[in-house]
Amino acid sequence: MTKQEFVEKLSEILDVEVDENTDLRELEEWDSLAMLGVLALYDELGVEIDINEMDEFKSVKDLLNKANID
Amino acid sequence: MKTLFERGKIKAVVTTVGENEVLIDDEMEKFGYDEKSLKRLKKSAKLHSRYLAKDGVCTSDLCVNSAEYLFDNYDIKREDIDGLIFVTQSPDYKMPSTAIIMQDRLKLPISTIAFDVNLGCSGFVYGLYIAHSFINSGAKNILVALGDVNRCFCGEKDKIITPLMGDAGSVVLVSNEENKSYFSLYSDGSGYKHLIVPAGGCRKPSTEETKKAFLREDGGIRSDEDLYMNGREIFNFAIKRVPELIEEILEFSGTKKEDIDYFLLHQANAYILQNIRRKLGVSEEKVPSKSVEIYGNQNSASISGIINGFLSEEFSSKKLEIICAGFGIGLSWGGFKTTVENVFAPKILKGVKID
Repeated sequence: MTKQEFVEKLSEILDVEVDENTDLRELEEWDSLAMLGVLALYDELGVEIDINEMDEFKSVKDLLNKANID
Repeated sequence: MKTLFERGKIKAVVTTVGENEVLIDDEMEKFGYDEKSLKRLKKSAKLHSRYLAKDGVCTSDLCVNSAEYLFDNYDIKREDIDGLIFVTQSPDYKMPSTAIIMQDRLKLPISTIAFDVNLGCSGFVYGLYIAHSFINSGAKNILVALGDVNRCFCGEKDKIITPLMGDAGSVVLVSNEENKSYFSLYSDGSGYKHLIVPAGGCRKPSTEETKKAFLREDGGIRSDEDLYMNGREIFNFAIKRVPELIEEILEFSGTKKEDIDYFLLHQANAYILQNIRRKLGVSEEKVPSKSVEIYGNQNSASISGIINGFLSEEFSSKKLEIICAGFGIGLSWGGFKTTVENVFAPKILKGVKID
């Protein structure tokens, strides 16, 4: 998955346009439902994740890094 | 554990839901949603409505209503029932087993085997497994009663879990006929804390403290005697384990995905179902998910709830290859592949008269 595709998917999950510089902590859409969406996306990409890591993500860049997408 | 049963056929499925239809729009204030989060819940989690039992109505009442409908409208005699298994987390009393009381209410013979099984979302599959075991050791007909009335364990204002839940009581009749069913069942108690009522049992007895509901870190208002759910853990568990399970059952039964008419999955929530379906790579028509949107998550009655709620005509008139899968509290999960034909499957019944 390219960076652009990932960010597009993420915008869909969050129901708001984001880019790689978006700060998740400032988004009220970054809620429990959105986190499930990201878990599903990681699962689709075969990215292993500990559930508690979800609380550590601060930005869209963090999410990209976890998925090894630059 | 994997088991192939040579005998046992689902002959009838009847479900009664609570009679009060509650729309999520009308629960906004109670759960403390703002307009925006409500819109998101409706769009992504497809929350729409749920059916709740009236005050005073227990799960056993919904199941007895379903069973009486069965005896009135289907060719099965009460004296031909060898066993009644009641799968529930909302029994009438802490003890004795509600199934035994139901034996008397339903006027089943005293030779009936009757007991309760404490399981939730995997309960349909486990109940059917027990029924098939009895059938394969000589029983003629086993009645499996299933379901829950959620106010017995869900915090009234807990926005984490309560808006998802609906009340239902089903009965499924399994009879001794030649028919192959392929079961696979799993348990993983390491995840017991992810769906739990922490207090009120022997480990943490009920006290004034455990009865107090208050606002938790996850935003839900509940007491320690209400059901807690770690949504993320359950979601991750379900989207990993359930597709694996279904692939395993397909292989075990020598069936291909395209040969299966319906994958009847526990109606946890629309979001989980959508993700499992995506991983399985099967069409939307084959994985019904409307039941959770309209009736709510009916725990052990959710699979029977789909049949009576949305597939009544299909099940009544056709021969179908189906895979059922349940997953959740325990953690416990399991599934089976079987063949059904001309099942007595009336449209869902709403509400029950209390005598």
